[in-house]
Amino acid sequence: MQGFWQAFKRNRMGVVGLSMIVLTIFIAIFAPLLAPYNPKERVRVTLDSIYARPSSEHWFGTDDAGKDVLSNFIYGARVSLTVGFFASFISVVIGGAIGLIAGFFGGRIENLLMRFTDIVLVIPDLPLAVVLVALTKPSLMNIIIVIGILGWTGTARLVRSQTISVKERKFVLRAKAIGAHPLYILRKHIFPLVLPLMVANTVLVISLAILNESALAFLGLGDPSTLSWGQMLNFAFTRGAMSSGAWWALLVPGLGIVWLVLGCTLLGQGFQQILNPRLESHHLQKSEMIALEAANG
Amino acid sequence: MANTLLEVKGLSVDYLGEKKAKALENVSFSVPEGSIVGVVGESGCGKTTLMLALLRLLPQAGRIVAGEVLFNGLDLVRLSEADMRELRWQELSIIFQGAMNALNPVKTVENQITEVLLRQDSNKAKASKRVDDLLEMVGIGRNRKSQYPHQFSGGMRQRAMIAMALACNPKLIIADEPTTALDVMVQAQILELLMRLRSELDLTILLVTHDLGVIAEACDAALVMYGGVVAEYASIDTIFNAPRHPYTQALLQAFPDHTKAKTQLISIPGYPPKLDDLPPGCRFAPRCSQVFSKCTMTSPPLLSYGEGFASCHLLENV
Amino acid sequence: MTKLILRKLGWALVTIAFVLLLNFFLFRVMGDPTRLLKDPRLTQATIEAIRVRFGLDKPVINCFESLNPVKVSLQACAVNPFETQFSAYISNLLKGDLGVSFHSQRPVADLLGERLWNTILLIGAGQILAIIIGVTLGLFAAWKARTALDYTALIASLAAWSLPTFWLGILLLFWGSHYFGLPLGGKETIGSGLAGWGRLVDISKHLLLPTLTFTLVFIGEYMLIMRSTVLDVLSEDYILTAKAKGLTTFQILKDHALRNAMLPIVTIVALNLGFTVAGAIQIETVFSWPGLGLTIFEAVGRRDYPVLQGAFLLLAVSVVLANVIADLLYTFLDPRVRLG
Repeated sequence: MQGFWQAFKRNRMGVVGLSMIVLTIFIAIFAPLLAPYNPKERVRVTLDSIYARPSSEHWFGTDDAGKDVLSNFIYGARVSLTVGFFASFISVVIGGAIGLIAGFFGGRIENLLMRFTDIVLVIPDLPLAVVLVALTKPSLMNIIIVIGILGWTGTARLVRSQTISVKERKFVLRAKAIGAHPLYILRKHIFPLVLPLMVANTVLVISLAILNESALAFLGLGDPSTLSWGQMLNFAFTRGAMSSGAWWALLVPGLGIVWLVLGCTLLGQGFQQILNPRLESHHLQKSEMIALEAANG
Repeated sequence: MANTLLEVKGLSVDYLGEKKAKALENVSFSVPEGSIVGVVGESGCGKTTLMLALLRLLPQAGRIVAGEVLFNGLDLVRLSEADMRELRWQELSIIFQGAMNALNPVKTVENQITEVLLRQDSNKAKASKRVDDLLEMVGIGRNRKSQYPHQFSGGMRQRAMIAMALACNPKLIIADEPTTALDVMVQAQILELLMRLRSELDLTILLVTHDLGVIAEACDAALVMYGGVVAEYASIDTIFNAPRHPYTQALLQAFPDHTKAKTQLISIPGYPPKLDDLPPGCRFAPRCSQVFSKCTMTSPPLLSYGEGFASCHLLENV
Repeated sequence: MTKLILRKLGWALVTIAFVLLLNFFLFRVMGDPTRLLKDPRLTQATIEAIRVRFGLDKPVINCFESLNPVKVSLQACAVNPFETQFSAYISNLLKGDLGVSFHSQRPVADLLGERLWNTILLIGAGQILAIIIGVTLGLFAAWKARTALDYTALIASLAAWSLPTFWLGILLLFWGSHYFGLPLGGKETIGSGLAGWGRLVDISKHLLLPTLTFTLVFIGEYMLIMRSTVLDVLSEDYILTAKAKGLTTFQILKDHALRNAMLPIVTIVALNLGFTVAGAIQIETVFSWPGLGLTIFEAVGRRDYPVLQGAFLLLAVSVVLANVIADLLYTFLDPRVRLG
């Protein structure tokens, strides 16, 4: 763990990504203090207050309901983070369990589970999510569950292959030989070694979940009572921001999504570079013969 | 006395990394035209680095820091990349270890040989004819030329590799452990093939191996390497009958000699040095049975002793 | 070889069967879809006709009168298995009958048929461009690994990957329509009466921004995958052989690296089809491009379940089939698999 942290501190991508995420979490937690207006508050809508240009009063302008875009944006971070964390939690638990069981027990169980994973993997995610949310009530809870139960396939495959490689290590074989209970081996020996990779993978699952939430919200399947970034974009796009030239209402929420997703992506890449270091050298790289002339005068 | 085809003078190669490794230091030897010179040593002694350096194929971290490689009088080290590329395979070709992955798995054997032929002459029919001849020369039926490497056995792949190396009639062929990773029977066949081709085509071969038996059987002279330096360079006769360097002597004692009935095999104690953590003085000193105080302080130069060269302080007193 | 192909086809069939079951039961758990028909234009008689046509007056499946609420009855168990909603669903499907749109009262199959080609046009154009550009960039990035060019391409790819597809579409639409007078959406200018060449130009103008969005979103991913594949290939022994053979860097990249690295790309393109479909839904919605994605968006808004059900089925089955094709293509392209 100590060594991991040392390596992480030297990984620029990972540090930048983590900082981006931490900043977003900070904004979400302190939203009431940071936001200049309360989005829940009723505002008197006048013709001038709809899609008002950015000004000293409204830094990022106002939206179709005359509300402050900056305040909506700050509160929107809460929704994206909530969906990201909870949906990916569901995905990682399902994927992790399936991967561990398939990898550890092998044989027919593995075959069955991985075939099922392959089937779920080929079924396109977003259309299925659209169907599921459309058939149920579009509440935040439902969206989290739907994204969660559709996003586990990648984790399952990854955890399975890692479990298989860990399973063959000496101390696991030794534990098996002295008759330790399989569940004990799984919990004590295998899980701790699979965990780091799972954590690295979780960050990427979070970014996918956030992207999926925003897409669902944009397609009109968001929870209308919580203003996520995707929901803001849906309102702006369907309620005339384009024709009013209100670029701020279209730009700002999207930047929030990109910021958070990029943060997760960079952190995930950083983790992978540390856990799975590869020599990025190959046969076509130029080898300069430095110091040759100097040495031979 | 035949012409000297290849003369290496004071070649040194460093590997840059967290710690600089002196992979080759002051390597000198020569290869007369028409001869087979063997290069022998334990793994990690710099044999492969030397071969790659000769062809200027070192990985990015590898640097030639000093020395000359005179090929027909032309210094390869100072050639431009483009000129060096012109020489590769036309004048110097290489047969890689094992040949397992040295052939591209998704291209046919014919395709991989014609690739080099078409560099000189874009006549495809001629190239195809030449491939037939080359494969016949190494004992592969022409009906198999449109097959892929994975359809060949290990020995066949190595034969294909040899055919490929011969394609442009190069002046020098470097064979980097051509028989490693093959069955004993196949090893013998490949060696026999090389010997036959050598006499038929009058080839000059630099043969890298860790097998002294191969050296004894095939070579005219041998270069014994130890930890990135030349231990001894002499004719086969001298190497096997009157070696001067304690390492060559130890190597021979560790090698079963079928002509003498009851000799005991003695392995060399210790391990070869780590190239990024070299001992001061002679690189062989920590394992040498005849070590004395000077050995641990200064590294010996390559000294001539008439029939050959060796880098050992013992020769200074003679 | 034949056995391998048969096994792959077999699994594709199993997957399609799973999709069919999912598609049926998901929508039945909702209850009788005709209950949701709120359109005042529909008479009770029409609704009844729809119910009979799709067997909605029969049990969902043996023993289950309905799934929402769950109603089990002995009477339902006794029915002929070919007299249930499920068997009606399957037999209608086999006849190519996907039901009737609640909204337009037109057969769903006809609606989807018109729009399928628009989606294929959009996905095709976007994917081909993304693959060509992404693969080229990836090849160069790997060749120039650990240089400024490589790092720039890497960061740009990660950023492109992080863009929500629909948002990039919105930005490009905003920018293109405000500054370049490009159309705000649709497939062609309605009522322009253009024909022949003029119409083709008109359609191209409409296709430009959606394709650009598609390309930008997917370049990053192809570049990243190509980069890592080529890095693996370039450190293989046969690349050293190729270099020793005196081939130029360009020849090595073209004849050895690209060729070998393209094989895994085939698989990746197939695995990516799910994301491609997700991209199409978002892009078609932003640009009102009349494809399957827009159909899904409209169906959701109108609660037009037969259309939604049909569109999902068509998309899912297409992806499964495309996957099998890519898988077989790979089998055929790689001599190590083909010649075993």
